[in-house]
Amino acid sequence: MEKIIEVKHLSFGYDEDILTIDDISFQIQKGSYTTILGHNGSGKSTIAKLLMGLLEKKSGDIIVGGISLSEETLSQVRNQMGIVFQNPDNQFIGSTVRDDIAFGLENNCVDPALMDDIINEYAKKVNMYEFLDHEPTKLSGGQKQRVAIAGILAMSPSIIILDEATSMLDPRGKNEINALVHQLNKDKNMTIVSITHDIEEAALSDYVILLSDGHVVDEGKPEDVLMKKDEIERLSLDIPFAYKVSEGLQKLGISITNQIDREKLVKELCQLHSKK
Amino acid sequence: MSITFKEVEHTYSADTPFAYHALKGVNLNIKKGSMTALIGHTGSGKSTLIQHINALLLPTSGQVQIEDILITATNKPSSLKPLRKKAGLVFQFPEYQLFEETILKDIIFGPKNFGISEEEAIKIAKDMIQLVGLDESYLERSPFDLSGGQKRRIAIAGILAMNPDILILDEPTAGLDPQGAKEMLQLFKKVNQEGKTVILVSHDMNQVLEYCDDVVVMNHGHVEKHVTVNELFKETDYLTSLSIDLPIITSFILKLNENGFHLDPSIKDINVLIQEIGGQLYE
Amino acid sequence: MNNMMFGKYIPIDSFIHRLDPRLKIGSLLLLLIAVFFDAGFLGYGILGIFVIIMALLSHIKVSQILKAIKPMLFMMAFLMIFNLLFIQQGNLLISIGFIKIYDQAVLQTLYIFIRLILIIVMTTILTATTKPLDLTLGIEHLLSPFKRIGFPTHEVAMMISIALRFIPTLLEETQRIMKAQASRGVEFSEGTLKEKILSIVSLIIPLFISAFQRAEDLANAMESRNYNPEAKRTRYKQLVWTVSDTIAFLCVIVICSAMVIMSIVL
Repeated sequence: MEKIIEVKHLSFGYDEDILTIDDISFQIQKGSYTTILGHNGSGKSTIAKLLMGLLEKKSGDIIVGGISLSEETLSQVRNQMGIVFQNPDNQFIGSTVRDDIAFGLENNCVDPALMDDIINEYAKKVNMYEFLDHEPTKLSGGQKQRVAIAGILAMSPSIIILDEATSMLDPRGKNEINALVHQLNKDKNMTIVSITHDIEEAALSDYVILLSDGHVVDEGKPEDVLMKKDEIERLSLDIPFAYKVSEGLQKLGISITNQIDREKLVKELCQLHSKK
Repeated sequence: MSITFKEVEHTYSADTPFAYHALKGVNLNIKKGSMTALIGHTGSGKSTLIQHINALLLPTSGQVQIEDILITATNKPSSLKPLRKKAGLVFQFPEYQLFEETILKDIIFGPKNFGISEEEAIKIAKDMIQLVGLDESYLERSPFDLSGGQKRRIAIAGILAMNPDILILDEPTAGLDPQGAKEMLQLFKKVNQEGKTVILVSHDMNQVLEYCDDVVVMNHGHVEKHVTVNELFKETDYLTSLSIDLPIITSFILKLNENGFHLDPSIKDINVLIQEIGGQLYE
Repeated sequence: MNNMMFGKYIPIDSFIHRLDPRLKIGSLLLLLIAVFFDAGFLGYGILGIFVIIMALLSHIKVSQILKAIKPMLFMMAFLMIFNLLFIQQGNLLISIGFIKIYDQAVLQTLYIFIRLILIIVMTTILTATTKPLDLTLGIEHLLSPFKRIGFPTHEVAMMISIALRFIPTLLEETQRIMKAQASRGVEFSEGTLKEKILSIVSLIIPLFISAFQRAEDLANAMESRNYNPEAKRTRYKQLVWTVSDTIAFLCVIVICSAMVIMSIVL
């Protein structure tokens, strides 16, 4: 797999003396669903903003699709990425769903005659076609986030960054967005970078980058990173449920493999049960 | 009975073309000292209901009784101010209500509005800030210097400082990380164990299962069920019919039960679950 | 919940609704100027008939127009009485004590009444038949020549559109904050002056802080979607000038010219 985002020795601080991001390096593979996991205050949202060039890095390199991020290449880099922020209201610019999706197209100088078709296409992709003339105050959080995604898709990025995009949503909204994003990842080979503190979501991703106090503390496949119990707990995160159960059962002497995947654990337990 | 609703109806903007009938014939008794969860889909009336408890909203018809105070459609709002103190209501994202120059001033704002002297209120603030897990040195700082999670604790300290008998929390852990959420819920549990009636509006069934005693289920403006947590989580079909995401532990148990296990679906403690699974594998 | 129709836009369909906002704004400006020409009762009669025809074509109910006039009645009465008493030209008509009313005063006062009514009705027709966003777009187009002298036309229009988008959201937020503060014992309608000021502070500061946060988030979102006010960008909403617009414009020119001519001749 080729890397699509490369971060090298990145440092940044909101204040002169304190570094919020301290010499971070990592890579994100094309087409992967990568989670950047950390407690609140670990610097994860700051990374999202740095990747999009919304904040100016102090030092280091950010390379997206082979292009190194700088003031001159800002537009080229941003064209490859879209970002969904946490607050559904504060990224909804248009007065209606239609207008909001159009906003990005306007910025990219798309021919107005073509806009309606594009808007309709992407509204359908996120199941918001019936709501095209609705105002944001009449939409749920999940619906607004779907519109944000439609607006991003209409600009044809290859990477979507989710900056805690579901943390302000109710469970239904969370499920809607997670399902949509996973589908985009599978069907369109869209690279997804999900910034979150939700361990169960991280357990279902392809790759996990563990962040704490501005440092990358660990990275790797979920099953490798998320079963380091002491490390996870020290970072104020939860251990995956399946792991808690499998570990507990092992202590009872039951021969079961340590798991973070609930489905697999259920299968294994049922096999054991039917064998006896 | 601490909180009683009798045939409470509430219609927003009645007599206009925009009338919205939010509560339909609500009857409810919430026991004093309980920790009750209020669940239901978005739009089921939870938010409207809780605003009747501290009289932010008056019933369109029917009556609400909080201890010995009676609220009906005709009660004059200013005579209901004591209720705002008796029932402390914490809205979602309460960090947005902070406004004073210092954290101390913000925490004492509530008590002072109810006639507590400044001296007394300051003493209370010192206790409250520690109760929410921050130390006294924070009191002189500006609330706007803090992180979102810390601000939320200050907002809650401000409500607790009013010493309400009833504490109502609307999605208090929304947006918090797992550690933050845990600390917050443990605080509410503690306050409940010390005698306060706690009502928790939540969409997170994991929280409801772990921390609450009773559950009120709302559906399209009606109270559909009011049972103990144990009873509710035995009725997994009912919950799924309401499109409510089951707690992780409960859906795990259900999947195992589909394949030969016989586990009690209302188990909330993971250690109990582990023992039970072990037991059924050894038999 | 609160459901306010901002700017008194009435969402129905009519000939006037379908006209180009640029035409409507431009026409209103011309007509407002024409109103102040002293074209005599004949002139105002013609203008009045024109306005009535516009009102009819816009399908706005009489009750809605009267509702728009209502808030202005007090001010109108004040102005009229003021004029009646203080213009002392022409022939004396009535004299009671030291109150002297002259015939010119009566005439001028009548003109004031007619003008105010015409202004209110014309403006109401504009706002009732044009969505706020279309108004903004119209204003933006009309002001675009000023871009050449450095006037930030686009930026101003964008600010207005975003403000319009957020008004309902901010209103909801105000309600939420009021409820949160009421839950801490604030009584917005009672108390001493000092208490009332503190109540307002407890509402305004959170609103401001929240507004600034929104602004920052929005700026990030807009930038992320490649927004650059100085760069070229296309527009989804296009304004299309039709034959109806040309005809309407010609009518307006004719009426305004008539008013001007009559004021000179008569």
